[in-house]
Amino acid sequence: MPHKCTRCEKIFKDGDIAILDGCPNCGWNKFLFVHDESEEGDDAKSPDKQPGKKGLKEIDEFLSDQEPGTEEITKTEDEPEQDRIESLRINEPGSYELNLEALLERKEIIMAMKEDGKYVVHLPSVFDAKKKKKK
Amino acid sequence: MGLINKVKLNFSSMFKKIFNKKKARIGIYGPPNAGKTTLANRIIRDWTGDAMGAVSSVPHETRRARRREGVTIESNGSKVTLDIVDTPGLATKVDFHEFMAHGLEEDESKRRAKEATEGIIEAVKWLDDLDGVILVMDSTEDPFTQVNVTVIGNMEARSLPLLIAANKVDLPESSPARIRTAFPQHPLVPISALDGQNIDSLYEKIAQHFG
Repeated sequence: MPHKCTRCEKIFKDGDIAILDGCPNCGWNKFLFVHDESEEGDDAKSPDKQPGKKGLKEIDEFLSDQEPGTEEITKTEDEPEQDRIESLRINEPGSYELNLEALLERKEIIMAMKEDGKYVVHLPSVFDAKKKKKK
Repeated sequence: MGLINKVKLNFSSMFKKIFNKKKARIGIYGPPNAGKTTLANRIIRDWTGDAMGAVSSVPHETRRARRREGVTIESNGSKVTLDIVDTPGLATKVDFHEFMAHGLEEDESKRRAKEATEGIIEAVKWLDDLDGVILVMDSTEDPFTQVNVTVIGNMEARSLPLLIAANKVDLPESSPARIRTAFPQHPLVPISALDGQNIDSLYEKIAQHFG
C-alpha cells in the first residue's frame, strides 16, 4: 500500500526507502497508508472485482445453480449466532445450521425455515422444559 | 441438618464403603471425526471385550447416541463403573453436499444430514443426564473452534467434570500441547484411540476423575 505524507500529501510507492529519513519534499516524518488509486480505478470499471462484491457474486452464482427460493440463506451469513432465537435453521432439505449455544442453554427447540421471519416452535420440547422448571 | 438426614448420609457412605461401588454416567463428546467412537470402542473392548459401533472417515458416521452400561475400569487401585454414552459429533452446520463429496448418492446424503442433525440435538440433550464428559479433540486440528469453546463453556457452567482426550497423537502433525494451552483449566491426556498409545494414562485419569 503506498504512503502519503500527512503534511505535503506527496505519495510514495509501497516500501519506498526515501521516506525513512523523512519526506524528501517537506522533511515531515508522518505518513499514512493510502489506497493505490490506479488499482481503485481498475476496480471501479469492473464492479465485480470490488472487495466484498466479489464474495456476493460468487454466492449469487452459487444460488442460481440451486433451487429457486434459496436466496435468503445469504442473509443469515452475517447474523451473529447469539442474535438468533432459533436453535435449528433449515436452509433446504439436507442443509441445516445448528445454534449450539441455544441448544445447550435452552430446553425448547425453535426451528427457523429458510425464509427469514418464519419459525416453528417444537411444542413437546417447550412443554417438557416448563414441566422440568416446575419440579 | 436434621438427625435423620445425618443418619441417612452416614448410612449411604457406609453403603458405598461396604460395596465399594462408584458409578458414573459418562458422555464421549467432540466434533465429527475426532475419534469418539474409536475411543468408545477401545474402552469397551479393553474392559468388556465387546464393541460400541462402526467407525468411518465419512463425518457423522455416528448419528444416534449409543449407551453401554456397566463398564468397570480399574486403575492404580481406583475403580469406577461407567455407563458410557457415545454421541454424534457436534457441529454447527450439516450439509448433504458434504456426504456427496464422499461419494454418497443425493437421497442418501440428505437422509444422513437429517439424521446427523437429529443426532446433534440428541447429544446435547443427553448432557442433562450425565455425571461427566470425556471431550475428544483431534490434536492435529486447531482447538480454538466455535464448537469446542461453546461446549467447554457450557460444561463449565453446568459444573460437569470434564476430561480432555487429545486424540490422534499417532499422526506426526499432532500437537496436544496446543490443546493444553487453549484449555489449561481441564485435565488432558494425549492418546491415540486407534493404536492405544497412552491409553492406560487415560484409564488412570478416568478412574481418578470420575470415580
